[in-house]
Amino acid sequence: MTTQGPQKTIQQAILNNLFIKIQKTSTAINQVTEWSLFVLGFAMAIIIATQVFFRYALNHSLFWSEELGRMLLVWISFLGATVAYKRKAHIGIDFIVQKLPGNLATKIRILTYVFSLCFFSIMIIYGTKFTLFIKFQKSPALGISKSIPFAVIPLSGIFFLIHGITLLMETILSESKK
Amino acid sequence: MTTFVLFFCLIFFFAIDVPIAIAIGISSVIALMMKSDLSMMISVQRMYAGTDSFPLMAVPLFMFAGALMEAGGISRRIVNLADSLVGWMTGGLASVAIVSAMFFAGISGSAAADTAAVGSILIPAMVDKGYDRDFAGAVQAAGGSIGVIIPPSIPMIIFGFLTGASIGRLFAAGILPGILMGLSLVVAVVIISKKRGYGYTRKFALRTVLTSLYHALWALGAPIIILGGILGGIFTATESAAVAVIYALGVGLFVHRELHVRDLPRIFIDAAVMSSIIMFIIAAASIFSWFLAIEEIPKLITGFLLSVTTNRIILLLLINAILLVAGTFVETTASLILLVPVILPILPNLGIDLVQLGTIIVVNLAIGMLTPPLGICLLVSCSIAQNKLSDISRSIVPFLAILLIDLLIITFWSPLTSLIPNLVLPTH
Repeated sequence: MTTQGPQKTIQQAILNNLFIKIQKTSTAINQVTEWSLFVLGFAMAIIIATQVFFRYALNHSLFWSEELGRMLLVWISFLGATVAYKRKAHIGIDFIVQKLPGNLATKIRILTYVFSLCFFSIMIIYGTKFTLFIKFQKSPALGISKSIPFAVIPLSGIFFLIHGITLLMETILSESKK
Repeated sequence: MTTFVLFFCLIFFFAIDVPIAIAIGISSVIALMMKSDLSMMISVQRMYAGTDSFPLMAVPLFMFAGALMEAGGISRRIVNLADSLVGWMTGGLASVAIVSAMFFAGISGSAAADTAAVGSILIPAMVDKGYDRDFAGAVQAAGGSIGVIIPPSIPMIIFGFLTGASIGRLFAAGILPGILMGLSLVVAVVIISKKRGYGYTRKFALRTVLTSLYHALWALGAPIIILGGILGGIFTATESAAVAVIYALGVGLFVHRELHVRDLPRIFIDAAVMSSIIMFIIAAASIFSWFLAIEEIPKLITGFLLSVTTNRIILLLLINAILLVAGTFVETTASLILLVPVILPILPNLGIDLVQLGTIIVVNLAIGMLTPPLGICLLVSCSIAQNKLSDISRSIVPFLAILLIDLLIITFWSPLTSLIPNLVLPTH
């Protein structure tokens, strides 16, 4: 026991250090994401309102507004979902887990994080593959590479993964302190 | 076999509190993994395609508009107007809570947002005036559920997106059922208030009605733009939402001057996150519904249902029962995406049109927002009233009973849903 003691505290210190670094990254990413949500959301509203204005006031339909708006929607949806994940705002069915004894509930919570991390990894791996796959396809109205709007899936996957690891470590560390 | 794995995983993940979107996504991916590697590529592509939609753009835009109106002091003006209209009745404040929620429903497309916006003013006011906390919370939750019936409505947008039904006609179809639900809830409030001995807030005075109407004019302009624009064929639901955002910005910043530029980022970010929760479910569920479609599951379930009965009344009651149970345990968007593909093929046997079916489905899910343990309106009310969920759940029972009667009327009396759409948006 005496030999294990100091070793365990060193491990603990390394883990704590790593945790603080990941936590900082996660917070920084989240701040940037939140600001981009504001910019993208505001832009989407203005673009669609402009589309109406052009059609009625100037009698001239914009050809690019709908496509750009849809791209913004996809970006807002996936980036916003990472912020919701960071805020633990995604809706789940928690009334069964709540009824379980604390120890088992924590174990299940850790399990849910692990499953979620698997899903995020799929978003990253296959999202990246698909982004590269459609590199040369051009969007019909704007003529930009289809990879640009699609890249939000692997990108948000990375953000999800970092937030998820932070939440997982938070749970594990708070458990081991007890 | 793969289908069995899919549903087993789904129920397992739901039960252990994996967020709904991720639960749906990962179960579909597991089922697909058993098929081929190519389908994994397609599954990420489905997530993208599921959210890449013009009609769905209305979801965040209506969230923005609602949040901006709320921050711009519109809720308070609407509450004052409702107070001048129905504050004189027995249980006046509780009726005000319902009527305010009806007005706010004309601006907001979300029941939770409606409950929160009106409830944050009226639940504390009711408690101050001696109403019991559980009753105050229950009334507000019931009123808030109308938020998705009176247009605009986010679940109706999603229904239109899933089925190709005209969102304009769906919105128009929701007006009368929403008014029916509101008025019947007011009747229930008056009866309960007589029993519990709650008083009224003021005497009726036409003068007060007119002044509060004048103050609420800009607030009422929003539903007029949204509805008038869509029903008049001037713009699509998505465009009306964008115009509503600009209108709300203008009114909040320059007319009421209660909205501040420094608050805008927070308002937009929070609303974007709220809508992303819905959109992420749609994205993940797109993998799910793609899998169901290639396995022809909806056809199987439909075949099974029709082999049990082809009687339209029994089928309609059955659909209502399934939806009520689903609405109780599963979040609204997820219920829509999981159930609409299954219900849709039965439509020819039901003797109703697509728009009425959409209204029935959304009313069911709205009632599901009032049932414990997962009723979102109930949870919002609960946290504002600082009351136990079990107490509010008891007080919600009479309101649930009234809404179920409304549901039957909406299901079996089609003029209620078809009158306005046929009047203003006739199909050719």
